[in-house]
Amino acid sequence: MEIAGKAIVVTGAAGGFGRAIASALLGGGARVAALDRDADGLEALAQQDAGVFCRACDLTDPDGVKDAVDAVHGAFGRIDALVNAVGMIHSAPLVNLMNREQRTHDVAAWQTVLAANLTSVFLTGKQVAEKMALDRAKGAIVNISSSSAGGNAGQSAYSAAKAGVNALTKVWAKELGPLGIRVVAIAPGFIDNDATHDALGESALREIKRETPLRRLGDVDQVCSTVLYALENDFVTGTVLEVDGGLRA
Amino acid sequence: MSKLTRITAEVLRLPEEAIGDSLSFSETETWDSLSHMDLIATLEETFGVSLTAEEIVSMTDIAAIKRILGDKGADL
Repeated sequence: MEIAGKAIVVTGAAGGFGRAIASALLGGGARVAALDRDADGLEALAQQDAGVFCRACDLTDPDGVKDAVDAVHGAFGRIDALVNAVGMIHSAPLVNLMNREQRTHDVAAWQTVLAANLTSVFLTGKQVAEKMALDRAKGAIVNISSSSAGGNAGQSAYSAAKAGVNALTKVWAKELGPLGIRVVAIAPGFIDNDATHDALGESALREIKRETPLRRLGDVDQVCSTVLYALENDFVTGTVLEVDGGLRA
Repeated sequence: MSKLTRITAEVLRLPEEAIGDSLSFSETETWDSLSHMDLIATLEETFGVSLTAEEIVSMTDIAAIKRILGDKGADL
């Protein structure tokens, strides 16, 4: 699929990955619809990249997502692709004996992380896939997963959610393939951005670098170039592309 | 045996003798929403046609499939 001229929805577009991906797509000549619940972040994106269609919405709310996708479809006339970059990193152990007040993983945090990372992908995926199927648009859905899907200690909720994203990717690839719609997941490893530093801390990141064959953190641009590859290569579907410096090799 | 019969029997995993005009989506166990999409993709590829969403949802029995493909000039 050529990106130029295509109508592409990016969720989580006010965040680090989403914003960079939206900019890369705009640079490739795509028409971009940016969805995020962070209205201020979307405003900043709109000021940076004139022409982007911005819509603030809660991506965990079924009605809100439906309304947002309807609005994008109304504005663009069609939707050719979706990039799900929505998500939030969360770290907490299953059992923490040292915390007398909260010895086990908080249930509310579990539900919030599952909603933000998995339910959001399900909701946007089903609404966009319906539009693409009805229009017979032979495009692609790209889900930003994580190397955490392989199981990171201290990330029960985040790992489970991202493993769920990988599973959705494979299921949807099989269901939507006959319609010409491809579905690909991209699993970044540890990327050198604020979210990673905030979530893990410098000591843990030093250890991660030692365990990574390439001995360094990744760059957001490397994730963006993989998104472009996933959108452009018409024979790639149902797979998880690891962008992790060999961490899961 | 026509191409349409052969394709439909293969996709729906039915004997070719079972493929008649009255065979329908609603009354055939192996003809569900997923196998319907498989059937649509196979029909488009085999007969070189493009089907709209409206045509896809209208193809609820073999007679309808024949009519829609016939209207597109497909050699069934």
